Amino acid sequence: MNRYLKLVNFEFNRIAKVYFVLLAILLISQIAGVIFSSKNYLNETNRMIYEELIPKAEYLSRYGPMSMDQVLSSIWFIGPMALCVALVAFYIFLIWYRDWFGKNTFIYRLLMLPTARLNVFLAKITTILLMTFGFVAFQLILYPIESTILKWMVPKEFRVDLSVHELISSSGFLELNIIFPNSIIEFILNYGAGFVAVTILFTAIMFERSYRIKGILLGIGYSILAVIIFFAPIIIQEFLQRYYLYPSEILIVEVAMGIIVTCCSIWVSNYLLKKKIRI
Amino acid sequence: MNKYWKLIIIGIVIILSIGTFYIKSALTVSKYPEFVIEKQSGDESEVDNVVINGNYYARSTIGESLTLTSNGSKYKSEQSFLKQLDGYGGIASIRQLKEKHRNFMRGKSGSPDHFYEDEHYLVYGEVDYQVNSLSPRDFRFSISVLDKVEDKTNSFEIDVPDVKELDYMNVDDVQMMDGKLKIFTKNVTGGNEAVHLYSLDIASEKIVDHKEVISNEGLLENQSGQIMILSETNPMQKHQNVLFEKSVIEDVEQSEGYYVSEEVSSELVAYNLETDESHPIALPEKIHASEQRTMFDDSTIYFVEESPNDVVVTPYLLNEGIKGEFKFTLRDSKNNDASVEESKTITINNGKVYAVTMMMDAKKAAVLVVGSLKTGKTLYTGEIIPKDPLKDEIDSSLYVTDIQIN
Repeated sequence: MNRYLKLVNFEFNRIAKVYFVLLAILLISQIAGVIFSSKNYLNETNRMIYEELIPKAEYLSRYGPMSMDQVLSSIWFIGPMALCVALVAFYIFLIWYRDWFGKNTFIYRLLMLPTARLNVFLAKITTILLMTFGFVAFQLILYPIESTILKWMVPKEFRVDLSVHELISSSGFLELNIIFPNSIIEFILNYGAGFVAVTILFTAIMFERSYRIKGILLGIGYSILAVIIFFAPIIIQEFLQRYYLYPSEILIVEVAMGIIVTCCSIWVSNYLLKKKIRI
Repeated sequence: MNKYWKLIIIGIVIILSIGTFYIKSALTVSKYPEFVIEKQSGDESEVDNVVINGNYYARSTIGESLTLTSNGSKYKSEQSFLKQLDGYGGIASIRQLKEKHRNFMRGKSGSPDHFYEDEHYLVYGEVDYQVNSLSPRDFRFSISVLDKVEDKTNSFEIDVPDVKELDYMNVDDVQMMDGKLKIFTKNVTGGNEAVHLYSLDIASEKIVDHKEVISNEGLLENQSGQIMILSETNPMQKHQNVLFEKSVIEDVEQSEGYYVSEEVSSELVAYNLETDESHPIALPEKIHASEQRTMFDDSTIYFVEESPNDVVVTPYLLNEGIKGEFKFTLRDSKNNDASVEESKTITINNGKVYAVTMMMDAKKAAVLVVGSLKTGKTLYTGEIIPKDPLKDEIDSSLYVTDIQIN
């Protein structure tokens, strides 16, 4: 356990600088976005009401009030979020390959540590999880701050205050529901599915690192197999009798399949790390 | 310990932030206003079995669906996640069947037309087919019979006979009579619709009879026939008659080669299951079936007509003709006129009509009326109102999507 924690700490510290810089970009860019969007809205409102002499009520009904919705659709807001997602997606691969292709083959030292090699694998996947949840948490902390800035800048009659859920359901970015689901159960399910996917990817990387060119094919083969096994209950049901299981039963079966696939992936990775990995 | 500070901080931040976010959002759900049905006059027990589905909107952007009964309102998000998955809303009678006969209902469609239920049996009949690139083929009846007394299920499949020319078919109604299953289907051949009746013997699992019972004959080249089953107040219940509306559609050429479809004739046809005969229903002058909503329960057709503040129901008994004309007024306690474009949601069950106006907002309440279709008396009037006064009055509203009787 102690070894594992040390490794997690070590892995996290290796990306920490980049990570915190990205958090800072998220903070600055989004707050700038709130300020710019509000300024724009206010300038436009002033121009319309004082220069074009449109009555306030008519202006509101024609152009609508200001809300975080308008901020969300600007590149200042959604851009850095996309950057964070991209970083995590990219780092899933880089977290392994940097150890082989870095200045000195660092993997050599990692694998020589007097601890189970699986701990290296688990520490890396924990780091990916920490990064992901860290972004989500940071965004959730940022949102009330941004809302407050909007409140300071735009007077109440020109403004609609939205909670995170209201913002997502009223915006066009319904994909954000995957990142910030409505309930804690959906949160666990979504990120659980993400975890399964990352273990499959890691296993594919292990295949590649063990057998190189041949390993790429093995890795792809393993990934396809894992996905088929994961969706097997649904596929079988399509062929035998549609809608045989109730949705809640499918969910339970799928959770079980997710656990099975994850265990298989970790077991295969463990075997490859122990016996087949090449440095 | 010191060297772990980054990990510790990020761990705490994650747990606190995501934790409070979900605790807070769990608490805000109950912040939506609760709605109640408040009695104005009549007998409160009349609305005990009424279920009203609707959507609540605040600030015109946020919509949340809810169910309203005499016990108050319940929002979708207040239901447990698993319950939401297995179907919140939907058709009440199907949902009840799923709760009562969970295993029997596996893989069954959600249409009450495909079911038949009496004290002894619950029967399901549907047509399965394979869709290939040209047309659907390989039509099969898929039948399930649940003997509720002995708790036995019998499921089987039979090929549908004589399907060579068939484009498409679907089941309109399932009935049972003397141990035989009667399945009414709408069969579409070359754009023309016809109603067929298949009789199946349950014990031997065989089709014992098949005939075309209603069709459009003598159609011209630019005409096509349409046949629709009249919506039944309770499609699952046993009934002697099945009613269809038969109409002829004609393509009329407009200028420059455009065609417009026009209905040239329509009539109601009743099929009597006991005598195995169909006969047209000669409706009195003042009722024109196609312009009104019609509902049917075994021996009575109800013609429903609405105006902004009223619902007028004319029952027509198959063997006696028109029996009265009953007018029920929907007006809220502030005596607001309903707007012309606002429609009502109306259902008929057990000789009673249930009508509810579709919208409630700060200015006016939605009105619910229950009326007897035997005496024409208004049995109950009530209003859907928020339990506590709404906070953002101006922008909040409740829209009724449907009303069902349990």
